[in-house]
Amino acid sequence: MTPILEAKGVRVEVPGRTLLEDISCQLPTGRRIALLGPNGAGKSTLLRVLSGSLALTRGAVQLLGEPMAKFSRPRIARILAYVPQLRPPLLPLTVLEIATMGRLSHTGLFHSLTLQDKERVEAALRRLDVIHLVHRDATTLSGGELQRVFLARALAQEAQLLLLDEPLSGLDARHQLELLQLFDELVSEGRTILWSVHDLRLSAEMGGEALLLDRGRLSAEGPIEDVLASAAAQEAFGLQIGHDDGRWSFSLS
Amino acid sequence: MKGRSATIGLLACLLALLLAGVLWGSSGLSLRQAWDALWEGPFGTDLATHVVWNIRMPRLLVVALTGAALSASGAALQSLFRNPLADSSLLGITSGASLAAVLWLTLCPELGAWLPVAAFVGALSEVATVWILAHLGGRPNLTVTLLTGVALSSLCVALVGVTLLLAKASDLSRLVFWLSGGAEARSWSHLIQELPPAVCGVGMLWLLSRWLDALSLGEEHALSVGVPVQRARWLALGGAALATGAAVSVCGPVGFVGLIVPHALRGWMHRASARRLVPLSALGGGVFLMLCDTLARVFLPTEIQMGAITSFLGVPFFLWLLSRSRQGIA
Repeated sequence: MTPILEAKGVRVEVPGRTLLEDISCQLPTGRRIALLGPNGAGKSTLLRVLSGSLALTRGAVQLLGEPMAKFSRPRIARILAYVPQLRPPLLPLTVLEIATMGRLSHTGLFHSLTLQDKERVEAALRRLDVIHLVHRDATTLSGGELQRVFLARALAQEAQLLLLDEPLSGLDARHQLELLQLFDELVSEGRTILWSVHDLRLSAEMGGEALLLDRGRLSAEGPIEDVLASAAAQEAFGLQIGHDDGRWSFSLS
Repeated sequence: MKGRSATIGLLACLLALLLAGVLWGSSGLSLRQAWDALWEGPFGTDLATHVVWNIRMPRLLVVALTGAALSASGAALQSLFRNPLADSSLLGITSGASLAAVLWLTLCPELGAWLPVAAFVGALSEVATVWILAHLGGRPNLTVTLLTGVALSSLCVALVGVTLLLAKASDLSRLVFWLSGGAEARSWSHLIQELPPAVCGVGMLWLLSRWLDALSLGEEHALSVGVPVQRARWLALGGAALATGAAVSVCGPVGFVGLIVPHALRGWMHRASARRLVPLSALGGGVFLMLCDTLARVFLPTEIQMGAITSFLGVPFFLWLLSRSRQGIA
């Protein structure tokens, strides 16, 4: 079956530095894949490349088996939704205005929202528990609230693939668990989620699959338990990683 | 709801100022004479009809249109550049249009009807040069683009100075007067010159407002929701160049309108959505510039140029904004 997204031999360079080297991976339908790696390993860069926000130096990214360059931006947005690392808006847009942007690729530039579009935006805001903030100025929200608003925007896009850069950052414990539960629901609906995460214990307990990046290279992939138990993970994080009776332990090596 | 009340309020202000501007002036007509001339229509042959319908009315409409074009451009550029300090003057669009207009007036004074085209070409060339220069070292960030605009604006101002040195002595006072930004002696023909490009430019910016809203969150968010970012930026800069070029070609470089009005509206509405702000700024810009013109025309002992008044108001406002942004609260 054709994966939603596939990277083939991706290399990204900036002057004097290689950010990603020879990355090849597939994102099939209905998976939750954690993107792991220490700081500076290239997780955000890989998510930007896969979302089409960053140009490649070499290699290719294919969407539904076709080169991404063949797709228009609105069509890409109907297939994949990307939420970059949290950055507060500089101009005072409301929560509703931000969430509604998720329907832009469906309505186009000139058409108003249909009743169905409005219902989908409302449903996304409800699922992320930000419906009560709908008329709030987004510049006045806390980091966690804003993160949930951007996730609601991505959900309103109704894309098959969600690329989420540290979606748990800024969320309190309850909202972290609710978001992870939402991930399960979305995966069971047939969507795929690639999410970068720093909390190894939490991601391990969640299960699913993982990609491990180390200094710009893909050093391990597969079920998250196998990835974390690998020598590559110990080397990448500089940690002793143990797994005993279903409990994970992490200590300095 | 607040958007609707603001629209109605600004429209009422615009009409009230238009009526007041038609009735009051420095020509010595009494209120009664001006009122009668207004109701008798534009086809009378007496002095009052001429003053009301051929001097005051077109001047006020030109001023309102200029304010609308500059202010809507400022609102759109602030979303595009994610910077509340961006406007046509800062980015050099006004200076580019001024340079082209001064060159045109110096080299082809007999082809004055084509001045808006020259100003638009100047504005668009300046924007294109900013874009190309900012892209020379790879993909630039918006701050680099904005600073390139500031640098190029200074160059355009210097070139305007050189052009003035080369201009005939007989043209010089006209050019200097035009460069200080004003609406004196603007007629129906000026309005007809300005109207199509200004309406097209503001209309383009309004049509692009959903893309502008997404761009105000940053390029990655905009791409993610399906905005073709490069095309959107070019179209928005083109719309701003069209509207600014139209305004500059008729009234000269009137600064700070695009900075003051959208910012005041944003503060009043507590919203920044370009979908609301672009049309409201167009109305607000018309109101603001008509107020400045009325101040220049009626209330000051000597009529001074409208551009000087907007600068007197704009410079302290800009410095206040800058100090707020230094504190991280702009």
